[in-house]
Amino acid sequence: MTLHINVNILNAGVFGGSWRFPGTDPLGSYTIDHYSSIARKAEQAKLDAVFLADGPVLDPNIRHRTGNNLEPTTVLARLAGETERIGLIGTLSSSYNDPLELARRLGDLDVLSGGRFGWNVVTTAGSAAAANFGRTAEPHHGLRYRRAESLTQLVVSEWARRGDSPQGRPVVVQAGGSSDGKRLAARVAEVVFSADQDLAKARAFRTGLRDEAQRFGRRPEEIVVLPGLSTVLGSTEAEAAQRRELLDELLPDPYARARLAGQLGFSLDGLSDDEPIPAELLGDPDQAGGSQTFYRVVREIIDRENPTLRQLLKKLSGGGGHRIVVGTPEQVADDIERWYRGGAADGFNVMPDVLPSGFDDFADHVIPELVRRGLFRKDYEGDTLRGHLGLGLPAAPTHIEPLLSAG
Amino acid sequence: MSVFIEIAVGTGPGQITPAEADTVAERAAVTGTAGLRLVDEAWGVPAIDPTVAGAYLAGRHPALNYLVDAPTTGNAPYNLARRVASFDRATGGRSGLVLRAGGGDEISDAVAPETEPATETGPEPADRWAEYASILSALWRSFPADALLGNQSAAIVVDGDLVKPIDHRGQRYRVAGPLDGPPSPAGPPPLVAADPELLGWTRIAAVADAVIVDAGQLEQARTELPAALELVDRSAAEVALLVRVDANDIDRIGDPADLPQWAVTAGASGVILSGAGDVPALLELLRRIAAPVTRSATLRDALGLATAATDSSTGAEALR
Repeated sequence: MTLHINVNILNAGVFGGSWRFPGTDPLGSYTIDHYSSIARKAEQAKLDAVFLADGPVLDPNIRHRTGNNLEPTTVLARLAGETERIGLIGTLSSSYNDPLELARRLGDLDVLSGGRFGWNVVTTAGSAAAANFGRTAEPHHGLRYRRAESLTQLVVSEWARRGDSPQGRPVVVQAGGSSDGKRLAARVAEVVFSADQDLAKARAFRTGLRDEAQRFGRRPEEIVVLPGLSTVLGSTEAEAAQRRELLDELLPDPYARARLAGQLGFSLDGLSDDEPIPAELLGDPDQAGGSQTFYRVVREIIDRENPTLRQLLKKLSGGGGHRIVVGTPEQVADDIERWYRGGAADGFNVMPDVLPSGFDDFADHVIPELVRRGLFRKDYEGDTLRGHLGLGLPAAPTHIEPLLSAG
Repeated sequence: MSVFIEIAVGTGPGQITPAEADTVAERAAVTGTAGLRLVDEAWGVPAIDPTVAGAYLAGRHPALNYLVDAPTTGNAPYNLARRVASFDRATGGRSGLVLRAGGGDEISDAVAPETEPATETGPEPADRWAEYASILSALWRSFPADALLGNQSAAIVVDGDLVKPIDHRGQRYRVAGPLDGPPSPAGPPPLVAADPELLGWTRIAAVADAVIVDAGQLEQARTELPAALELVDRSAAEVALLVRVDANDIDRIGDPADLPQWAVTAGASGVILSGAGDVPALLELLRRIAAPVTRSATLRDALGLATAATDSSTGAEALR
C-alpha cells in the first residue's frame, strides 16, 4: 500500500505569478524540453504519473499569465519515447472530440507507451472554446456531463474491443467535483482528481464517492481519489513563507481579478477591495454554468472565512482554488500523511508553485521524506499506470447511452 | 533533394512495429535520409495515429523530419491544427501535415451549416479538403511568434493585439480561433497535398506547400501545377513536388544509388519511398541509396522552401 503522487505540469506553475518568479524562464513552458525534463525528474522520483491539464482554446486571460499551449497527446507520445516507467495522464475534452477518433488515438498512445496512459475526461466550459467548434455558447452543464458519460462508455468499450493494451485498457481519470461530475466519477472514473480545502470535507467527498460507486455495482477500492495540492516549499518555515509572499507580489492583479470573476460568473468591477463580496451576488454552485467545482471551492472559502475581496484574491493567488500548503519538506510531508491516514485522500495530484524549481524541491526533499516514513514507494513494482495505481481491470460497459452532441 | 521513407506503424499488414520504426528511424538518420512519412493506414487497416507515432519517434530521433498523414474524417479542424502545431513546435519546425481528403467529424457535423450536394465546383471530399486546408493555414498564422513576449517586469505574457481570431464561416465549418500558441521559428508547418486527381490542381495550388504525386503523375504535375499556381499568383518555388516511388519497383529506375539524381532530373524536389513493409529489405535499400548527407535544419529546408514569413524578431528565438 503506497500513496499515489502525480505531478501536474501546469505550464509555469499553479500560481498566477509563477512565470515571473526569479530564476524562471518566463516562456519555458512553451517549449517541449520543459515537459521532458520534469517528466524525467518525476520518473527518477518514482511518481505514479505526470498529468497534463488542457482545453482546446486560447485562455482569454493569456495577457498576464502563461497558458497550456501544447496538445497533450503529442506531448505524452514524446514523453513515452523519452521515459520508461512513469504513467502519462492527459486531459482531453469529451465535449469537443469525435469519439471514435479519440478512442483510436488514445488507445494508440497507450499501446505505444507500453500501457502507461490515462485519460482525464473533462467537459469543456466557456464560449471561447465553443466558438472553435462552431457553437455560439457553451453547452449546458447537465448536457455536457450526459455527453461525457456516454462518450466515456463508448471510448472504453472501443478500447476493450481492440484488446491490445499492456494494461488491459487505459485508466479513466475524472476531474470534476460538481454534482454532475461526482455522478460521472462514481460511474466511470478509476482516478478522481478532486479539489477540497478541508480534511473533513475531503473525507466526506471520498467516502460519498466510494459509496455511490458501490451503488453502481463497483468496488470502492476501484477508485483512487487524488486531491489537487499546491506546494510552496522552503528549507525553513520562514523561507517558505517568504516564497509565498513573493508569489503574491508577482501575481498580476488584472489576472487575479479576471480569473476570479470567471470562476464566479460575474464582474468584480465596482466592488470594494476592503469589503467581502456581497452575499446576494453569490448563487447556488449547482446553478453555476462554468466550472462548478471551483465555484464551490471559492464559495466555501467565502462562507468559512468571510474575507475581503483583497484577502480572497491573495488566498487564491491566481490558482484554481486547490489547497495550498506552505512549509518545510517535513511539514508538507506531515500534511500529506495526515490527509492520507485520515481517509481524505489516496494520494495527491501535486501542483508545484513554480516549474521546474518547485517540483525539483518536491522531488528532492518531500519524496525522500515520504519514502523514509514508509508512505511512498522506493521503486516501481510494475510497468503500467494501472500497476502503479494498484488498480485491477473493471468490466467494460455493456450498455452505452446514446451520444448527445455538445450543443 | 530529399528522400523520405514512408511507413505505417502498427501491427497490421504492411505495417511495421514501433520497435522496427525506431530501428528504421535510427538508420535513416545516419544515411542522409531527410525524414519519415507516417501514413494513417495500410491495406485499409488503420495504423497507429501518425501524430502520436510521429511525436514518439521525433523525441528519439530529433534530426529527422516528419510528414504525418491525417484525414479530415474524425478531426475537427481546430483539434488537428493544434495537434500538428504542437508537434511541429516540439520538433523545432521539422514537421508537416499531409492532409487527406475525407468526410466530416461528429463535432463539426452536428452544427455544420447546410452541406450542399456535389456541384460543378467539385466533389464533396475535394471541396471539404479545400475549406479545411484554408482553416488550418489561417489558424497556423493566428498566433504570430512576435506576440509571445514573456515580459516579467511588465507582467505581460502575450501581446493580445497581435493574436487574431480567424472567424472562419464556411460551408462545412465555423471556427473562431485563434490557436493557443505560436509556430516554431520555421513558421507554420508545411501543408502537403496528396491525391491530385481527386483534389484537382486548382485547390492544391491555392493553399499547399508541397504535393505528393506518384511517379506516373510526375510529367502531368510538372505542367499543371505551375499553371495552377500562376492563376493564384504563386511561384513554382513555393510548392515542392514530391514523387512517390514504390520500393519494390525501384530497380526500374536502375541502381538505387541513382534515385536522388533520377528525381532531380525528373524535376522533383524530393522522393517518398513507399511500400517498405519488409524491414530488412528497407534497411538494405537505405544503405544502397546513400543519399547525400546535406542535413536540413527544418522541414521547409528539406523541401527546398523558403522560411515562411513570420516576424520573429523578438521573443521566439528560444522556442524549439
